[in-house]
Amino acid sequence: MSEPFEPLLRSFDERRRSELVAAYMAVEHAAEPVPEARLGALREPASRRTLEAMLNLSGRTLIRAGRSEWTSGYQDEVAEELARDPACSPPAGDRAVLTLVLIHSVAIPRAAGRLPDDTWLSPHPTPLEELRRRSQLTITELEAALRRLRLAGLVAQVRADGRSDGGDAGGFVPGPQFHRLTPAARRRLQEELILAAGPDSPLAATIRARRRSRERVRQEAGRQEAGRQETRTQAVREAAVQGENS
Amino acid sequence: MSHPSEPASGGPPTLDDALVGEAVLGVYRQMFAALARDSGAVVDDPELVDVAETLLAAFADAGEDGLSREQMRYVCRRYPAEVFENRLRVLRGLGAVREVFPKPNQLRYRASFTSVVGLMFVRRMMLDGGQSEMHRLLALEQLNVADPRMTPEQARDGAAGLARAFRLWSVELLTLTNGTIEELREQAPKLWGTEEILRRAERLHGAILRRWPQLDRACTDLRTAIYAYGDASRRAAARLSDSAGTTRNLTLLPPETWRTFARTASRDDLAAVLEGFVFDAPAPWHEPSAVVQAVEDGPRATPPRPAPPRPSVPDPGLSDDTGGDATAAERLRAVAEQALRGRDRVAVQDVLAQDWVTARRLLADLSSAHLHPELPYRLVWADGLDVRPEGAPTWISPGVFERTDA
Amino acid sequence: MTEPSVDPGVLARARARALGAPAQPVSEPVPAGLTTASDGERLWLLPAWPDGATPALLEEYDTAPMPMDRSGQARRVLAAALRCCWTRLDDAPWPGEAVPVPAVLEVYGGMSRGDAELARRWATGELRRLSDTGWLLLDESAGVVRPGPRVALWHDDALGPLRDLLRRLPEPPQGVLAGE
Repeated sequence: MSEPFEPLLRSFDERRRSELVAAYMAVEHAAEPVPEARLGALREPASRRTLEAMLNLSGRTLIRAGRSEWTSGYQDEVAEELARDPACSPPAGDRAVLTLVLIHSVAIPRAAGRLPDDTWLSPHPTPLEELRRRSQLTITELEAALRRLRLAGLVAQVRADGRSDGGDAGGFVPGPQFHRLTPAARRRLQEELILAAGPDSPLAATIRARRRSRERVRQEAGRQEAGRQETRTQAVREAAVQGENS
Repeated sequence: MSHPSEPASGGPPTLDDALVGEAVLGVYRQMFAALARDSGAVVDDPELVDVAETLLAAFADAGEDGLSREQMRYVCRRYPAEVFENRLRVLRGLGAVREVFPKPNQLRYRASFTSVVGLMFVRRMMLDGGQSEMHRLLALEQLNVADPRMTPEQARDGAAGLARAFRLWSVELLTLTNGTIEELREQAPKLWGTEEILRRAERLHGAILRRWPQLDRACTDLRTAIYAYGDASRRAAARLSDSAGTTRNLTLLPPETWRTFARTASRDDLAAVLEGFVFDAPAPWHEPSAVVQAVEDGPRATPPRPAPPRPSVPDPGLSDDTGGDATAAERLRAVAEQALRGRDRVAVQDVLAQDWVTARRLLADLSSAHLHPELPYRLVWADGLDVRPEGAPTWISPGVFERTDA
Repeated sequence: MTEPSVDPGVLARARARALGAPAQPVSEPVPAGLTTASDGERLWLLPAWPDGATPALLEEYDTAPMPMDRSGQARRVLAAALRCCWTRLDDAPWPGEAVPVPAVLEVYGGMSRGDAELARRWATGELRRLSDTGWLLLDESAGVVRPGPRVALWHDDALGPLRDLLRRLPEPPQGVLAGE
């Protein structure tokens, strides 16, 4: 079943071809971003371009993590299109619990200066007890959602390290799937959290204003494109008429 | 309102302590700058304010009798004597603590209400840089505007005061917005106005103008200041958004805001955050050889049935980690013989009495030998589980590894 | 207003990944560039990987796949289920046959030791997870299970040892298999 890939792979010799296939499978299926040192096809920009084209066939794209590690995720426009179908997003209960984990493991440690890295992964686990005592969700909802989220790699469970000397207790952190968000998706996640938790903040106002103006630009572009097409059709029609007349 | 602050216990103060102290002093200096006679008039150690606060709290508890000198010393016992004396002198000198003589020859002390209010104000200012104070001020002015006794002069003064506050806030924000991003990120949340503050200010402006149309000049000033402040807030937010990275702006809402949201948001509000995000469905891969391996590594209760006829197609054998089937079988035979050491049967727990990694590998090999159709060995497990707190593994089922007569 | 449109084939392949192994009626047109598995009534859309690769390739590059809880247990339950559903071992495992869940639990019980009731409970959880991930199709209301579409991704030349193993596993008791 390599037909869709054949046009892209045809021109490579056997060795390069198998390197490309290995890199493709690795970025698509590894839990963590893959170091480019491990896979030949990830090292060179030219073969990365072929890899990108292979991924694009399924609406995926290469995502750089760190300086020299790679993974894959949905292209932004594909994710946007898929999101129109609610079946493509996790169910509401799972999303609610995932949001809580993001707040406790990333937003709060970030705001408190305990998480220096600009990443959606975190070494600060959210204890189940915290979720149970300080949220509006029931323990049944929490447990069922956490089970599903773990299966999907959307959260990871961190076990208590057994040492009680200030080490974090066990709990849940955002899972390996968060490596797979594109930069735009990461930014949007930050914005959605700020809009939800601080809708009254100037930051939220800025986010809303920017979205409105982006939407306007997009509509404007759509209208202009429609207008151009109209002009083109008109021109073609006129040309045709002239052709007939001459 | 007491703000318990234990004296530093053990160890010299660190640089961090010093920086925190310096920030606190900064607020004090700004707070009282308008009242200070000279720059030396404000305390130069935040602990001195704690002494005053401890004293004022004790006065509040003491009621109208006030406190004797000995009682004051007692409540301040964790501070050195000279610190206490110094504080008392200054507080008396400024009228925050007064001497009273309820009976002849009886000296008591009472505290001034104003000082307590002043301190409450200071503490609030330190929390959010004056945001909540501004809310209170606006609410108060709104009440005043509705008060029939309010004169137009008072209203004008109130509007002018607010306009000044908004203008100063804007100037500070704009200065920060043109400065370093780090400083802006740190200071902006204390300075910029929430939409709530702006709405309140505009509401107040409208109320003043409706009641006293003649105050249109003062009102125009106020409105200009409100707009300027809103604009400065948005500019600061925009600059921060431009340098947002992917989680950096999460720091701009205080931890308490995040906690409140997590605690109070409904399931649907929480779910809405991730609406429209698309993730991969769980899709673990089970390679056929991994399924085989899992069964081989798994515990077994029943002896295997007689070996079936071998398939006509040669297959790589059960243990595909070594070359061909023959080498794999030979390796397993060697492992089995080493475990048996000439005997016909051996208790599994005895051969596994090693570290867990080695034991696990050995157990996997013995299981493979047991499963191998051409090797004359068998692994038989009894029911039950022995707990061995000191062992590795810490539990084991009684079982024997034995030679079959195949 | 025109949306930037995504190629429908690309979208269908991305959708298959987001949903796992989505099913559609066989009568619907099949998007190109996907592997499919049909049971005559429904058709499942599965990924198409280049040059016969499977995610097992990751092992050769010392690269860990998504972590899985108790993978050994899950695979033993999958083996027990296949022992019951994949009756004609010379054929492909897909689509196989539906069998009563108790038959699978019985076979699994024979493969494990310790508390039998506990083993059944664990196995039931694994059956659900295997069904959620497309390795089995579990119909809890009817109490039957059959192979899932993902087994159709297995290459026939990799199945030798698995066939061999399944032949050696104890058979499900005939009474349970008949649903008595």
